[in-house]
Amino acid sequence: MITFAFVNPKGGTGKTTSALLLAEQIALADARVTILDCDPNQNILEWLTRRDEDGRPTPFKVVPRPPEDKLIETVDSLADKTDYLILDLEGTASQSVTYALSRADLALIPLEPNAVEGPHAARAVSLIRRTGQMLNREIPYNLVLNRCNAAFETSEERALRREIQSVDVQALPVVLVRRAAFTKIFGEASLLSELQQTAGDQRERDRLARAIANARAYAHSVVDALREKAAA
Amino acid sequence: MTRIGFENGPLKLSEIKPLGKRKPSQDETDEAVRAGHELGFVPREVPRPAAPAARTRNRKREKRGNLLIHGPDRVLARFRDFADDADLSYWEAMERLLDLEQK
Repeated sequence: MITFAFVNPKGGTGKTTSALLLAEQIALADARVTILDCDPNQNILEWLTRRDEDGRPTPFKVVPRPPEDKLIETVDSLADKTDYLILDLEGTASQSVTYALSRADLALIPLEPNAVEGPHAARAVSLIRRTGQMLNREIPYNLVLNRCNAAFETSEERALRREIQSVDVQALPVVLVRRAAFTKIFGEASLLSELQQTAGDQRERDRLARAIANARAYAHSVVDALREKAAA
Repeated sequence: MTRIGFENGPLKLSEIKPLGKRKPSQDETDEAVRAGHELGFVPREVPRPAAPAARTRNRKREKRGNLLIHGPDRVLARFRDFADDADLSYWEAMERLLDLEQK
């Protein structure tokens, strides 16, 4: 089982969205995927409940948040049942994040490139490095730049990339763009691929196609990052 | 691949494998948790009533909607903290506050 942990002690940075997009893309490659929804708001579980009520099948499983002291046990119990486990962690500085990192193959830190979110991501990086030291292994991680401008790299994004390079932190080369479709999947309890059925005019279909291409490229970059870490 | 990507092929999952991580010992995990505490990553859970009223309702049968709220950050932050501390989803926290108001 390969475990991805989405980590950021700040809420609203895009952990849930980037976790859900990754789950769909991996499931589309015919792998067994499970999301462990560790956020107290249980947004992905609610999303699944609405789909179940409508009788819509979901190509991956969602497991509700276990008690904090049962997190490791829950993760370990899923090892034989799924190929890819995605941990959507809560947006607070919680001990459960440390537990999750102890089982992570790759930690992903979503953040919007701006001055507010940088320090929170830095806290996540500190915890990952410290946890790795305590466990005597390197825990690979990457930043995931989220809600970025589609047309060009803003000065804030450029500044963030310069800053993270200077402290030897890596971000995925592909960013997640600010797209209406990435919000709509929650509003309509949809998969990204299902939005094609309700897309109206050609412009909307084109925008959706760009969102899907972005999500696929993002998933590719996550897979590439893990492969590179394994080869290192 | 560009910054926003145009890769359309299937994911090559066969190229990635678990990193061969061994399970850390309980002592190592405890050390990691202690180190996390020093960085402010602390236990979040507090004892809760065994069966709070809001959780006993049949959530599946209720029709669902969305509400987008704009407001001062200080108020939204208080609301989030309230919901997080009580381990409630936002709609459950809203319902609890409404119930309190009507008491």
